[in-house]
Amino acid sequence: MALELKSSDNKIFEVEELVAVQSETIKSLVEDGCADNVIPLPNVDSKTLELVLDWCKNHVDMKLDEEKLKEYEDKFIEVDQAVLYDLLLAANYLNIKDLLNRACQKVADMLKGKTPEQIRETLNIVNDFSPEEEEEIRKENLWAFEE
Amino acid sequence: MSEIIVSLSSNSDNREIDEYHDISSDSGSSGSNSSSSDSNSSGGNATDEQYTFGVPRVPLEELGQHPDYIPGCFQENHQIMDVSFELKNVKKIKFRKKQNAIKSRNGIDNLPDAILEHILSYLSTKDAVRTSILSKRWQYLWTSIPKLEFYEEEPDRKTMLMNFVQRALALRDSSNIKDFSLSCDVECETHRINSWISAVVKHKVQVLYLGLANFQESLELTPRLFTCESLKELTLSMFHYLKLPTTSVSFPSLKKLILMEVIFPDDNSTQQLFSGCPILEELFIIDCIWNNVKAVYIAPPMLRILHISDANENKDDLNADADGQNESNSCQVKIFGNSLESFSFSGDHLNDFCLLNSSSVVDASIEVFQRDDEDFYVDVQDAHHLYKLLDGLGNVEKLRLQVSSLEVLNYAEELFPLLPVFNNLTSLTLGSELPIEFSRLLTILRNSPCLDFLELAMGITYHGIYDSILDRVPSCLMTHLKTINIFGLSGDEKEIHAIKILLKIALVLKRISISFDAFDFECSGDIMKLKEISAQILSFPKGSSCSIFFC
Repeated sequence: MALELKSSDNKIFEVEELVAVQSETIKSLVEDGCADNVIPLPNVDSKTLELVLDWCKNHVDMKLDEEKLKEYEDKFIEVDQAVLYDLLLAANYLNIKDLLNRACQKVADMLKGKTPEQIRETLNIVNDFSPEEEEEIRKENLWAFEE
Repeated sequence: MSEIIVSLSSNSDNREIDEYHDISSDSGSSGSNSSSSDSNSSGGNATDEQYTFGVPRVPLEELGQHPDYIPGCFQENHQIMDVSFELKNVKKIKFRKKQNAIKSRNGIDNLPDAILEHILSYLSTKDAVRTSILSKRWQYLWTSIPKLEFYEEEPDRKTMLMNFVQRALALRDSSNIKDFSLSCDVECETHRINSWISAVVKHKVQVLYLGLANFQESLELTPRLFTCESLKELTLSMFHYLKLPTTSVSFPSLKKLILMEVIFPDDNSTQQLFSGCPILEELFIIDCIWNNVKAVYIAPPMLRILHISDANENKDDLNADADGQNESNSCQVKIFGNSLESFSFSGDHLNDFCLLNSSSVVDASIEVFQRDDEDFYVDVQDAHHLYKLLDGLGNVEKLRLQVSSLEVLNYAEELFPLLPVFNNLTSLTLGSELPIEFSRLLTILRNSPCLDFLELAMGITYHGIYDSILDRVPSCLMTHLKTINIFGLSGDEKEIHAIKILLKIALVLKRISISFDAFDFECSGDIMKLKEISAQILSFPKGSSCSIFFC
């Protein structure tokens, strides 16, 4: 059984139902009988959707081989930040738990062991605190900041 | 005194503020609490409406009426936004433009709070809290992460920890705390700790770990803990009396329970505890004190995994009048294992525990070791208990038996023929202080017709004469046994002889691994001896086409 998914930029992807239902969102559409026509996914562009579907397909194919799957996942998640965030939003919207978790883990790994300044730089976060405000936060959360 | 500042955009006269606001909507530096429905305030935020900018979900003035507010806690200074920016500053405009250029259009700040919180839950709580300093958007995100873990090893930071736990729970919005872990010294803070437990119970905690030490006053855990409906997994590690409430104990969702070093106060409450877990699947009782218990039963109908550790070092520290160990010859704790699949025991005697209805057990590990003060004293009762235990484990597929001396089996010599037949046993690991004697091994093998894997942790030895005609070769050696691992060889004659016979009669053997005890071969001259023995073993005639490995 094949399903048709349409990305935000109007590209159509044909996928096996077994692959597509890795997304809980699509799964419930199928179960409710709303998947006969093309399923529009206005929140996911074609580039991201292609990646997501690759993830889903491999998770069906390699279901029984844990080691191989882990290898695939580790390789898959080595992407630019921009792509990573698109994947996160897509996984969230399509409700694909393992992709969401793996992507979150990846971002968390980027934060581990870094100083706030380093994190800001890596993630492009603007520091909108005044030095006094920063000091206040450090004091309030002393247990976390004191080394 | 803390203040909540009104959002910037309420002042729409100042164009520059609006402009600044437009851009700053991306970086989340201003905005209002989504719950206070000031819809104008988020300005030109073009992106995701799931956004809430970095503000606490509960405005401070409402905190006092908030249902989760714990009275008497740390008052916070919720300084969120400071209107006193000099926005007419040209520099700021330039800075803002530059910011806009550098910032990726698809940055981390475009993700909704829920995803950021999910990301933070993959960090340690300390690391997650540290993100509070990244920017205003991030300042309070950590207060909503579903997983909180508090422990502190540095002795001079312990007060800091306690104060922080207080703060973390006070700042919490109504979102659930899925996983809460606290390791701390109790000292005189029993009231505070109980208030925290009540708070997490209210937040529908599912996985709870409490590691409590250093009691300077008696702790009676809040009754709210013992009726927690959401709790799925509970670990209590405390060398202290487990006083249970006089009201009932009810854990309707509890699947896994781990008790460490807990002192059971009496029969009644201990029974209450175990009876209050109707869907319990996994139970771990580690080094707990049963001195005050005369008789209880443990019978959760869905119990699959049971592990009991009974090292009893702490027992001696306690009241000397509870000298139950040596006197009791009846079981204190009767376990009904109707659904039990995995059973594991590790301790210095089996006398306190009795496993009944254990025919569903598939995987069993029994380790009975020597009490320090007794040299090779073997409790006859231990032997009886061991036989009884093994009798009930007749359906087991995997068995690990580590006893201080397999000679313990000899103490009840008359029972040896009554050793059950293990019809499903495919994997057997035997260990003891002394090497297993060959004829004993054969007896066990005769009772294990399907044995595929055999491991001898402490070597093998040979007393007496093996007559291939008179002694029935165990059928598993002829049809099933494919792998043998022997550890701890010392290289003496009797040992080699036993291996020689084994190689001859194991007809379907594929692989045998032999490992020498490093202790016995320490000197350099011994390397030669090792090589000699290995060569000798390799030269023995084999009844199979197995490979011999030396490690």
